[in-house]
Amino acid sequence: MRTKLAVAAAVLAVLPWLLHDYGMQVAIQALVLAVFAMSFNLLFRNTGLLSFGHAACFGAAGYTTALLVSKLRWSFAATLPLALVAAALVALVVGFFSVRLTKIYFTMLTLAFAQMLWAVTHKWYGFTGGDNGITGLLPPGLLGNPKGLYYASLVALAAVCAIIHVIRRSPAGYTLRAVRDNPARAEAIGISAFEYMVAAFVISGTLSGLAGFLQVAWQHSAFPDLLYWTTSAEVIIAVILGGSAEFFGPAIGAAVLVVLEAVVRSHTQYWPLALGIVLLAMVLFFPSGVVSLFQRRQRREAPRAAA
Amino acid sequence: MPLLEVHRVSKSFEGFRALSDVSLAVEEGSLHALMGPNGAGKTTLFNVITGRYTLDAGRVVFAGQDISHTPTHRIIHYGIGVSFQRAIPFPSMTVLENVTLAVLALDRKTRDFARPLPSYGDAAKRAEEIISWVGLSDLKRQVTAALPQGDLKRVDIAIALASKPRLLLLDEPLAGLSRAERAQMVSFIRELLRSLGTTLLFTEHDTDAVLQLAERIMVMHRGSVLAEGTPAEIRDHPGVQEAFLGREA
Repeated sequence: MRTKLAVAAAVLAVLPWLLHDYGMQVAIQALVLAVFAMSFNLLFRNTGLLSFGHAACFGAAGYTTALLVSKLRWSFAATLPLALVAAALVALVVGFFSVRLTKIYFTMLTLAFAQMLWAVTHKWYGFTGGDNGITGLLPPGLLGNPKGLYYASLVALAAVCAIIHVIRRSPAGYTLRAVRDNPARAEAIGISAFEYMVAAFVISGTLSGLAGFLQVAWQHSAFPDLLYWTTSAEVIIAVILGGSAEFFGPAIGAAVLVVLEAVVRSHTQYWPLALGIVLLAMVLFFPSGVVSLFQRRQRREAPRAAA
Repeated sequence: MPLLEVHRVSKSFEGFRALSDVSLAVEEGSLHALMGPNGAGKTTLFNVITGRYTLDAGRVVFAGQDISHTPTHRIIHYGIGVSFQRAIPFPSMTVLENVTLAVLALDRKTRDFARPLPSYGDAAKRAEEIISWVGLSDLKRQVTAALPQGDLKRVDIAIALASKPRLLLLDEPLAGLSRAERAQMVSFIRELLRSLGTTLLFTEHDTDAVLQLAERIMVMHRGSVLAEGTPAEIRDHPGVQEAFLGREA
């Protein structure tokens, strides 16, 4: 695992020197979605809660940055703390009301919250620019050039992975798993399931806000799309593709999804059809994701190597 | 004063009276059984005591404190531990992690998001003591999902003991066990009471096991109390004989 991680880090570190302009755009987009997917999976894997409203946190952070830069002329990087606070607040409100519900009801309520936020943003021309969005946000300095933004996103991804790793090993991380495994048992040993699920939602939402911030820096604009349900769906698809049970599964799924889209779109306009076929194949034949596909082959080869 | 006092408790579900006017007193240090067929209201009464169900009428008093409307996750801090009928602890964790987590939860240390769980040496040590006490030391590194039912019950009881309860509620401790495992569990429960001094309230629908094990028995039938007394009194109680003993003999 350690060597694999070192190799992956080395490849990611030199990648900008190997890619041309378009390749860099794809790579940055993949990193941003990877940050989002890892953050989303912190909630999904550890608590079993499937949020269909993470676009709310992602978009709240993105719009906070866009509004502060365009209206108050803040510097791009200085907006990051407030962007994360906005994502955390949205996560707190959505989480507080949603985690009381289970399964499909939870999922639907998170979707409803995110769609409400989208509708307000979409129509409030005076403040958010409505569906015209907020454009012309050119980040100066580091975040403004592709290499700088690439490395900033890579550092963000590493930070999010490190945070998730630390949480997973902590008593709170075990407590989240206990709540997922058996909520009644967890309550009986003195754990408030509600409290921990809200906490997980807030942490997951805040880290998703980091992805939203990077997304706005990358596309130099903010549109209501950031908050739309398709954004929530995209992150779920990335996690399904990569496999939610594997630590790096969501990040790998995000990379596969973004690269696949770039490749397919350069040949045909039927990307949604291709995506549908890939998803169908994944869910039917490899429900544990791309990562498991690789591992299965490894396991099959291992005995042969030993013989 | 009894350790646990359930006072005229009633609970209905959509018109169905699961408990009607049930009272119960459990003395400190006793081995008390709730007996009755399936659907008599034993598990409902447990759920009322532990706050999983809100009660419609009546009061639950523990060690002199009214805990009638206390949420489940606070009950353990009063000193009431539970082991469930279908013992599925936390299947994704090892036996040691299961019990360590319960130790930390009692000490209110689970809010730590940073320090790794294995670095909590004191909690792990206490957990290992409890695990060895229930006889599962060999299995402590095993993930609980893979364990047989008999071992799962022990893990579940170990989790409950980690919370240092004054009163331990055991819901059907013998259900799903083989004959040999049942005998083991009966002596295990006796040992629990003798060496830890834990007060026990358990449910069981196996009449013979209850008469053999319990010091006091409350018999429930269709949500009401049918009889209350020592095993000898229960055995000779005409209503009880009519309701179960006669039929089963």
